Amino acid sequence: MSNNGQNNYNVSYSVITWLERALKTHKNISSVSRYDDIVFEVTRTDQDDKLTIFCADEYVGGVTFVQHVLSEYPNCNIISIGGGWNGYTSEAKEFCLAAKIGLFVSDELMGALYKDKYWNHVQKDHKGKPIFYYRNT
Amino acid sequence: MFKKIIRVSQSFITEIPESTFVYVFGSSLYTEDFNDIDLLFVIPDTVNKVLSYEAIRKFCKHLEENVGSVIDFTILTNSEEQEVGFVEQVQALLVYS
Repeated sequence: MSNNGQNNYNVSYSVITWLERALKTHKNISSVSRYDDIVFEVTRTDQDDKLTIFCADEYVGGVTFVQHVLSEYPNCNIISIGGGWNGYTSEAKEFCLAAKIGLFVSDELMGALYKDKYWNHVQKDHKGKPIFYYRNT
Repeated sequence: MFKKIIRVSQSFITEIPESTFVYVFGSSLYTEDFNDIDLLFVIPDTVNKVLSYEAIRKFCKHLEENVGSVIDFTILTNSEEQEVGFVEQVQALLVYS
C-alpha cells in the first residue's frame, strides 16, 4: 500500500516521487511498484530479475540505520540513501557490501541498476579513482 | 524551543541506550520558523543497533507529541561520529550526555 508521505522513516512525498519517477524512466527497468510508502519493487530488463529498493532520506546513513532497515525489510536489495547532498558512513557501506546490499545515493543507484552485481557498483572520477559518498569533513 | 527540547527530553531519556549523546542541529537552533527539529544521537559502538534504533524512534515520537514539532533524527555510533565529524560539520549543540 502506498501512503504518499506517511511512513515511519520521515521520508517526504517529494523524495519518494523523485525516486519513483527516476525508476520509471530508467532504461533497464520494465516495471515499478511501491508498498509501505517507501519500498519499491522493480523488474530489470537485462537481468530479468526483481529488486527491492528502500527509499530513504538520511543526512548520513549509518550502520544503525542500515541494520534497522534490513531487520524490517530482510528482502531489501538496495537502500537509496537520498540525493547527492546525503551520504553514508564507511562502516555502513562495508556492512552492506559484505551482505551484498547496495547502499547508494541517487546518482550511484541509477548506474548500479545496470549491473549484475549491483551492490558492488562504484562511480569513478576521470582518473578512474572510485567515488564514495562518505559524509566526511 | 531549545530549552523546551532539553526539558521534555529529560522525561523520556531513560528510553534510549545508556551513554548516548544527544545533539540538536539545523534550523531549529537559529529560527522560530523551522519545519522540523533535527536531532543527532551518538550511541556506543557495542550496543544492539536494531534495538537502539527502535528505542530512539520511540523517544523521538514522545518528544514530537510533547514539543509539537516533527523530529528528524540521525543515529551514528561513536566510531562513525569520529570518522564523519558530523557534530562539527553541522555545528550541533549537545543537549544530553
